[in-house]
Amino acid sequence: MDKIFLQNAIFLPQVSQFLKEGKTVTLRARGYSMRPFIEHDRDDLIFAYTDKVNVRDVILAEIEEGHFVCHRVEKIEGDRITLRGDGNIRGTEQCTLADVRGKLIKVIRFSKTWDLEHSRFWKVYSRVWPSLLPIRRYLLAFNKIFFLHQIPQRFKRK
Amino acid sequence: MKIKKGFELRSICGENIIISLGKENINFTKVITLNETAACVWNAVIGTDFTVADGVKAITAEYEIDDATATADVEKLYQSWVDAGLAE
Repeated sequence: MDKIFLQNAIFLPQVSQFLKEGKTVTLRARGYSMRPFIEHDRDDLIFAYTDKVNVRDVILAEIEEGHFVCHRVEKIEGDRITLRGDGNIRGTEQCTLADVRGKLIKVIRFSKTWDLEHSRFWKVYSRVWPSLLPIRRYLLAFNKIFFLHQIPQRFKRK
Repeated sequence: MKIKKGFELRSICGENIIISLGKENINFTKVITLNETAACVWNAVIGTDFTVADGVKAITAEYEIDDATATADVEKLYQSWVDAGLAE
């Protein structure tokens, strides 16, 4: 099976269009900014269109023209939304509700589907993980060293 | 032979990607892409009840290729579409 890589700036606007048409879209996770829960090239992410965003939601947003991120909503002040990747220690992004393209509703990992709307673990994780920001650096290092390097076979796609 | 309903060929980032529009979820983690020749045949036969001759006609009109080679290639292409569940 061959892998093809599509340029985000061209590909994701088409994905946004499908979401707007009411379809859900599955994409392979790329990048490390949503660690520890979402891992690069291991998890498949299912997005759905949303016109309502809450704090702690993970959304797909176009923060600049052609520049998309899938990060967690940290703060909402009026129309202004602040995003931060779960795996990011520094750095946030800003966008508005109009920039939101979709909401993460499911994660598929090794054939197991996590329905985020109904997952108790996800709800607890979504509350607890952002509050651990001061010690996030150490938790991410532990995750990288212990889970991803010491026992990688469990955490990598075959 | 017919291409099953709900499949559409779209050019995304220069790749000819077949999308199943009938389904509620569009899965981009496993996509079928067509090369230029296969896309040429697809566009010629989509929405019709087609035979190998139709595919051969589409290829020979566009490319310099003899009928025998084109026939073999189109037969192989159709079989791959059937195997992938795109045609019946």
